[in-house]
Amino acid sequence: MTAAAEDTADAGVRVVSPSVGLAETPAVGVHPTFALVEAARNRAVVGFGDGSLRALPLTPETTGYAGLAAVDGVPLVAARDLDGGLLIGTDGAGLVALRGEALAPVAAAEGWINALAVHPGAGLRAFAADRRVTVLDGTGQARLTTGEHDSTVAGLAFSPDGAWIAAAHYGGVLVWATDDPRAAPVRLDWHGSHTVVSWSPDGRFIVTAMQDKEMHAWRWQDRKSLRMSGYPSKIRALSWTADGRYLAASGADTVTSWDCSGQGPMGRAPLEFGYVYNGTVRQVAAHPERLLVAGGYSDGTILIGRIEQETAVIARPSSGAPVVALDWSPDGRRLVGVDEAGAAAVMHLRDAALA
Amino acid sequence: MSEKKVPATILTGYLGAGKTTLLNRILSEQHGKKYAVIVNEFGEEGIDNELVVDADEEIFEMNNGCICCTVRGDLIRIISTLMKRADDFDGLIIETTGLADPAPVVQTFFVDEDVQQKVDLDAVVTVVDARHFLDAVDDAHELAEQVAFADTILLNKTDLVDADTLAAVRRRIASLNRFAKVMETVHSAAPLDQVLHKRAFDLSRILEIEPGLLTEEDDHEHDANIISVSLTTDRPLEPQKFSEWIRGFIMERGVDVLRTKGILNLFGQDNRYVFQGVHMVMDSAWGAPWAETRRSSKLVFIGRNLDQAELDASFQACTVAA
Repeated sequence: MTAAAEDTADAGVRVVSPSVGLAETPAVGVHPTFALVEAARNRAVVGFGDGSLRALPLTPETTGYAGLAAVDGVPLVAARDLDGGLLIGTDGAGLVALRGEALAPVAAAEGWINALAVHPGAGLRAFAADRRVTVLDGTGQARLTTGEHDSTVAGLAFSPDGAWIAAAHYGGVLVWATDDPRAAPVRLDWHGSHTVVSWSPDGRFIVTAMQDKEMHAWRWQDRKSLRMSGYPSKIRALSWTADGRYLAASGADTVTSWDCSGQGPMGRAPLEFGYVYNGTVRQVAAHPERLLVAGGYSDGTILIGRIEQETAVIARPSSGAPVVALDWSPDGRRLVGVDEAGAAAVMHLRDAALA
Repeated sequence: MSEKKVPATILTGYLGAGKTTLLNRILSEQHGKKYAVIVNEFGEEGIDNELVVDADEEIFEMNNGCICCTVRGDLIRIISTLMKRADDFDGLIIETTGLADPAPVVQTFFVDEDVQQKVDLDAVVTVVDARHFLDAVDDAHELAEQVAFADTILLNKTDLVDADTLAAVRRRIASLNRFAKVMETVHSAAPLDQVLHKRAFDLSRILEIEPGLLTEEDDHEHDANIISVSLTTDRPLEPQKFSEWIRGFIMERGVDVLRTKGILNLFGQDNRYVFQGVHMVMDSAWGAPWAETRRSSKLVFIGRNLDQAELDASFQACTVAA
């Protein structure tokens, strides 16, 4: 039996590529802010600009959202929490946790929570509200509250060992020790507004995306810095392959993946796949195990590409609305994407896609 | 989901000039309309609106080697979030502080693509206190810049000054900015259709640069640091020459050039070429075809230390040799 024949056997699944089955829900006319897979509940949770949190079953028959709960305000950012639920930062209602269908307050915050990070291994959660970063342990106890950064903190990332938390702001990145509240932060300065920060899984690089449509990277060992420029639009997402070799970025008309092995990306051109006519890449998400990256485009197209072969398959055809979030299930078998109109796609990968 | 962009009005003016009074008029007189208001300082007067967001004036320089290219990081965050709410706003009003330089606010709408995709900058509206303007303008460059950037000026509190003072204020405003529409008001009571939905930054409407003003005699005082300059020619422009000149000029003098607008008759082209700029940030497009048999190029600058004669000579040198 061919892979395509298998696909048609699943009710509700559209065949857009022999290796990927697609289940879609119609647009709900509200702007999503995040989409995260909760594997234990076999669902994805999507946050919306009207405050609602809705569940999307990860079954091939997915046809629509189920209402879960609502936050007071906009759920700006979210991350998978230590115990399997979700941690959600809001624009005025602080930090809350979603457990099943119940919302519980975790921490109050002065101002908007613009960034979140969770480190399961170290049992730490961090959030940035206005100019300060707070690191909490699993019980919600504050381990660290930083002083004010020079500007609003726009991005957060833990080091792979959880010993440090990097905070992106205007002017660079401050890296704080998570176990010493009195220690001065390590300053990584670079002129301009840093909006996203990411730490490589091997711990070697801290990389930011900037308002200036470029990326900046520091080698943690010696603080040597380099820039990656030439992007035609804003870089909204950075994502590392599990082995830490490639860093995928949005912002170009193709999905760009930088080889960070050895001396790093200096002097190397990124690998590219997935040119979509009149589209730019808005979101990227690297596969949790393999050298695959999902790219979400400004026209709603979602592609899954092989980094080293520079080839891709269409996982979801254009919907007309930009993709705002992408997330993989931990086993890498399912991919969830949502677009600006609130339409969702659940993509089921066949063995062929993972071969 | 509405695909229509939300119009944004930037409200500037010194503390006490009547900005908040105008804001409250807009909010109360526009029945059934839904506005999002972004403020930088809470004044004594309350703002009567459901949604008021307090901004934190974070001015970010861009990394493109141009020191005057700044954006407001807080506005990018706030506007991006507001546009994700389910509410379909009829408009966005941004009230700046009395001492704010309007440039970073205006440039945010030109530079940030998230903001650009959702919001159209409608106009810069400046409220001027007729009593204190002449005393303050020489010492406060922000005040002069707020007037220079304006598309619409409310000359407010006119009941508190005599006719001579009012005339002097008007002359001074005209010397800073000859292209803005000036309305005399008491208690900021301007007809709102003259304040809202002006589409002053819409390239397709640049045609409507008030033509009368462009041919007026230069009778304004030249002592002002900031002046308005208008250039015009009936001879077609050589595209290459003009492009080189305007790029060079803006590169060199962009810090001093607050606003630029142009409608150009480029040699060999059937359509108008329209452009606008704020400091070094430029935006251009092909406009409507020329219908008239007499085509004429117009270029206006508002900025510091501009030399009308020198600019005119450079501009005329870009025309196709007769």
